[in-house]
Amino acid sequence: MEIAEKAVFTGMERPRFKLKSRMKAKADPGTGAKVWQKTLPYCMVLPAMLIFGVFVIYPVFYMVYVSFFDWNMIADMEFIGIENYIDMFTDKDFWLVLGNTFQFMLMMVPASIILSLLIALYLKKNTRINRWIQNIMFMPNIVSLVSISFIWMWMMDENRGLFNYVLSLFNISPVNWLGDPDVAMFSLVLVNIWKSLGYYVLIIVAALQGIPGYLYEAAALDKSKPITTFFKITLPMLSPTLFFLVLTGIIGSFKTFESVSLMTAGGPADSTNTLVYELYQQGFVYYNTGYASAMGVVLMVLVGAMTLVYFTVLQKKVHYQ
Amino acid sequence: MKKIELEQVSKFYEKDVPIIEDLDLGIEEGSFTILLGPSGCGKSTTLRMIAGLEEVSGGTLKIDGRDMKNVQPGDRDIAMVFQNYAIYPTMTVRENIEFGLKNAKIPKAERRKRIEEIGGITGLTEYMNRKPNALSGGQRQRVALARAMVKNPQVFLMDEPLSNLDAKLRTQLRTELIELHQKLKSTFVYVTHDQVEAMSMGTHIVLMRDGKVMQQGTPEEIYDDPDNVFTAKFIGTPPMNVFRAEACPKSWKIPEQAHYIGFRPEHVRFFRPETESIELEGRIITREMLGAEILYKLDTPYGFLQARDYHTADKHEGNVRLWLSRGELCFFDSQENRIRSHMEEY
Repeated sequence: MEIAEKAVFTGMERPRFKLKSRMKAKADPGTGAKVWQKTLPYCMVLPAMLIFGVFVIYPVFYMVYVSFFDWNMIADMEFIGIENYIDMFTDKDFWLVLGNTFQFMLMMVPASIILSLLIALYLKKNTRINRWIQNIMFMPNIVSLVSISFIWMWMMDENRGLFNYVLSLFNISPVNWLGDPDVAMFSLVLVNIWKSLGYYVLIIVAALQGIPGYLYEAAALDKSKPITTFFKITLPMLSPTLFFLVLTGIIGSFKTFESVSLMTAGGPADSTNTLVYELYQQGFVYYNTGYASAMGVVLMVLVGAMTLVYFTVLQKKVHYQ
Repeated sequence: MKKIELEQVSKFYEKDVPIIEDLDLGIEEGSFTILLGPSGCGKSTTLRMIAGLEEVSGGTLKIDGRDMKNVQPGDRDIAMVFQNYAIYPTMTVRENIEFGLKNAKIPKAERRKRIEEIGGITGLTEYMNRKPNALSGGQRQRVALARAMVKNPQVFLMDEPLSNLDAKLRTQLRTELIELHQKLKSTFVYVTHDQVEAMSMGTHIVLMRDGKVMQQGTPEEIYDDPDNVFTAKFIGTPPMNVFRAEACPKSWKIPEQAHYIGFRPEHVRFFRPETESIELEGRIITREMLGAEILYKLDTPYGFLQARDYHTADKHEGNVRLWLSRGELCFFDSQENRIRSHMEEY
């Protein structure tokens, strides 16, 4: 009805505004043009959505699907219900690996954030030298973790490494950085902190520089000691940024893989075996594809839960003024 | 008694580029002193030096006779209200007000008493547990005021505290600040570029330009007796009319050294006064009816001028005759400074 009215309307209009008829058509499209106008945006996002669907949505659903099967990627898939999950949750190794992952996360996240916060406070003043230091600190972040791992493996080598050489100068007996089950996880964390520090510092420095200077002036007039100013003004103002870094840090820790794979291969005695490395082993070494998919689902749920926490809190968390 | 004294104070950010040079200024105890001037005149810098937020590059700054060099802002017994309020966004209203008291280690019972009292005065009692982002601009300004007042400082420093508010609220808070000053009897130093604010609130105005004091005195002195063309033109809405002396006819008997002649818009008359006067002709360009008064803009052979008439039945139009009373003219020399010796002669 409405379309019919429109058609009549445009039909009457056109002869009267002959010169403007082309403009008129643009502003008041006919039926065909109207449909086209509505579908055009969807056509334009279609390629992106197709890629997203094929490479993201489909694999996720396929992973969940596969996790209910016994499969080695070659033989026929055998539906076994939730048996993979039962196997997993009753497997001692799974809990060990999950525990290792949490251990990694609990060392990695607080240490890297506190350390980068301290460095950022030092680098807060926007001077030439500070910008240089910041750039240098960011460099590990653009280097592949594979290269980094090799450099650190050399430095941590028990016999020829830099670390033990330095220790020997102080008459400290050599440490088997990557071979000692009690030390290996710590060494991995060290490498990962070193890599991500520059990124954390960059973000925290930006956030620090975003805190308006007049707040510090007001604090100075309020007789606030530096330590009070830090805990009552700086830290609360940074909290949204720190919260973001903690969450992304946790998610990153859950997914840690390269350094484990290259530097320790999960060893010694599974002491550095983490969730993703175990998943990789199950999937691509032992070809327990169904079981690996079930682990993938658990990982996805964990990371998904953290992401959900982030967005829920973020929505409640006030963006000050 | 002088509460704050600046002696030969200068301020440099870069070498050889003085923001303020050799500034001498005394601020009386209990006064409501306004630092007034166009932007970039150094008024805010002066205030911030008094607060201790900017270092004094040269000269001495004393509060209560004590040199303030190396005295921290928090130890100067001052409170400051910032243009953008500078309230702590992560703290509630109460925490904002309490912060300074806690740092000064005032006991809890005393703190509570003072906050309650201040909350009553500023009308913030019911907003105490709110975060600043849930407050309107006017309320935020009150929080900033409350935070300053609660410390019972000897000196209040205010840096354009009303400029972020809308016109109506500004007028209202202006009155409140005057009342506050009368009640507290402490020294107020107030920075503004708005001469109406300055005239209406100040007991003492310091008019600045390019880091120098152009004139200081009571609002009446500044208005009625300007020392220079800058003051004459900066103060008053509309400002003083200033003609170039060379454009005016000999019959006006202008003193020889005078390069400029100034007169207030309200001294332009549409009738012949009884005192000795100058007569001129003009054509009315615009007429603004403001209620009690009417502003005219006129074109005369000697330049444009503005005239203020009071609301009467007379409605002036087209070409009119105007009279200026000779005693009300101000003469300025080539340096734009006032010539006073001729006041009595003419």
